[in-house]
Amino acid sequence: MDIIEKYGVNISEKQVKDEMKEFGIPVPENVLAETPGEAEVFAEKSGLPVVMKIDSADIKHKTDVGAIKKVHCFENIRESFEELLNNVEDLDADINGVLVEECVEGNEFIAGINNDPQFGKVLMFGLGGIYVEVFEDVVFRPLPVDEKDVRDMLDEIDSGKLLEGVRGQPEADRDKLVEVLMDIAKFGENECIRELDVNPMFVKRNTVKVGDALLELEV
Amino acid sequence: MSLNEFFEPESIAVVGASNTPGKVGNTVVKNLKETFNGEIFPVNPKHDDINGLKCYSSVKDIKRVPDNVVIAVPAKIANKVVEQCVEIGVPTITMLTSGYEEIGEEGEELQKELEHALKGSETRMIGPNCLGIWVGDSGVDSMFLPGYKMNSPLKGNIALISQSGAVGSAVIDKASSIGVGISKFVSYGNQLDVSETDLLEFLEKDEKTDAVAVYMEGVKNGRKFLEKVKDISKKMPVIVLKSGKTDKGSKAAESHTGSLAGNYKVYRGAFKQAGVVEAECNKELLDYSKTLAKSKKPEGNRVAIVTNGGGFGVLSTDTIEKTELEIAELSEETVKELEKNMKEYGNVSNPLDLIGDAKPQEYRQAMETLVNADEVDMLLCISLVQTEQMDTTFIDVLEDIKNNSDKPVVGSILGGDYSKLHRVYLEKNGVPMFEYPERAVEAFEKLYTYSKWRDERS
Repeated sequence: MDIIEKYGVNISEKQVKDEMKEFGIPVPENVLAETPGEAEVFAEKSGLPVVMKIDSADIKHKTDVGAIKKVHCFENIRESFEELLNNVEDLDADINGVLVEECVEGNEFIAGINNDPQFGKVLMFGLGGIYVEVFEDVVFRPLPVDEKDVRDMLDEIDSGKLLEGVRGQPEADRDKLVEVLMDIAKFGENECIRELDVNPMFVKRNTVKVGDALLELEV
Repeated sequence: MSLNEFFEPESIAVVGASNTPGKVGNTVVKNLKETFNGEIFPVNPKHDDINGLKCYSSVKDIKRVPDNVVIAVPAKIANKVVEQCVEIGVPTITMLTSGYEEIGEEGEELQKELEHALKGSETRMIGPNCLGIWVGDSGVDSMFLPGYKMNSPLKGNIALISQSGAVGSAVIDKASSIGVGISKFVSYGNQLDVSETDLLEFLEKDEKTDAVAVYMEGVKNGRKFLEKVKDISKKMPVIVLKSGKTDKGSKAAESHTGSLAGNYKVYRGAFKQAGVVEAECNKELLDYSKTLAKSKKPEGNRVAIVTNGGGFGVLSTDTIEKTELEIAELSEETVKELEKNMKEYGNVSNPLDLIGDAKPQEYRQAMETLVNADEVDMLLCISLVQTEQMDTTFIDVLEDIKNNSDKPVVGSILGGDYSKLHRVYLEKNGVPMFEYPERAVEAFEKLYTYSKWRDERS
């Protein structure tokens, strides 16, 4: 109930990421900027490019409405800030500000918590990004999971080869990935969480970071 | 309440018993009379005598409370009979009657009524919409399939529980024709009361059962099933054939046993987590069940193959390469030992080809060496018994090797009627037998992955 008490049942990406970060799940460095100046200060510190997104609990699919942008040079930050806000102006949405994030890269996986009518909460893991719907290469394990279950999941997906490093990419740190998935599973056990979708989850050598996260809460 | 009275009752009443051949109540009484040693009470208000047995007008008129009541009358009447059974304290009911939730709205009402009749009582029910129970030792047989059309099941150590009566009975019919025996069979239908999980819990403690084979469309309570099956898998293998994996298949399941087939990918994950051995078809269900029920635990994944036909060795090697198994690399010591008994023109390697003129005695020497070699975890013996040199003494050889070894040994004998005699005989004597070696390899892989799961989880 703690999360709902804090934010209500409708929760924004920044809020989800704050909660995940507090739980020990790695998210990109970020700031919620209310002015273009705050965005610039963050970009100066973190380096470019940065990803800028409208932070709102009412906008779930940001790409569809032009609420996300990757910005490569400092001079464009201010302009992008205004542009993003303009794009969502006509939507009936409460805007918290612009979420500015360090740009993370890596192979895109998906992880999360689903709610199955027969087995209840299950951990999901698989190939992410736009390939989720193309290949449907995802596997599940009912909660609670142990380390063995999660390691089996990494072996079970068809795209497991991506973790071994193909075409000169370095091998992914499996232990780190297992640790993050175990934390996601534990995070998902919170009774007010109905479903959680982390997509993409970036995996590159020893970095695992939540790219985007959607959280569905229930009382 | 315990489920024991379903399986070892002292008396069984058959409601809907009939003198008319072809009626369910006729077949059940006939079958019970042949196999069941306890008391049988036919119930039918229109008769005084059924198949030479005194017939009662209602369950309430029977001189004692039967341990088990088999009900085979139409749903509306059946519900009344259940009320009477509850009233007199019948411990178990096997409800063959169909026409409940599986037929839609009208049936759902009747099923609710049935649920109400049972509620709060200690009476346990299997079904409705099921095909009954068969138990090797006690002679319980409430299946309504006539004996002349169906092989009577052989006694063995595999329990089969099936949501579908038709699938289950076809599997046990086939099982007995290939020499595979079963301990208990339960067709559990709509699982209004007794669920697949309750049955697993009972079978877990059953001394006659070493493996449980399950055909299911959907589980009643996923969580409970998962917890139970995780437990039982640490003691004995559970082999599951799950259907309704596709959207259309899942719709078919709903109108068949009224069950929700659910998201198959989640089932798969749950099965892996719980150590369930998954079969993709009925053939695999039998293959894996018999291999896991009859085999010792392998210490590793290295397979030795002995054959009198090189081609079979190659085919099996290809299949092994596709699995988690490995072809055992023979040590110098093993090679030397094998060479002692090899013909001059033979070549020692794995697969070991004894050449087309091999005699049973050569098989014995080779298998004794291989099965005792440290680098071998499992042995697959392939034989073309159609050659001049092979004779029925080969049966003793393979049986001896399998039953005296602490490693898994299976056989593959290819071909038609003559070779089938060998397969069935060996199967009955404890050796898992396959017509095709590829299928033997697949069964070995399941045996290996199950054993590995058990080691890691126990």
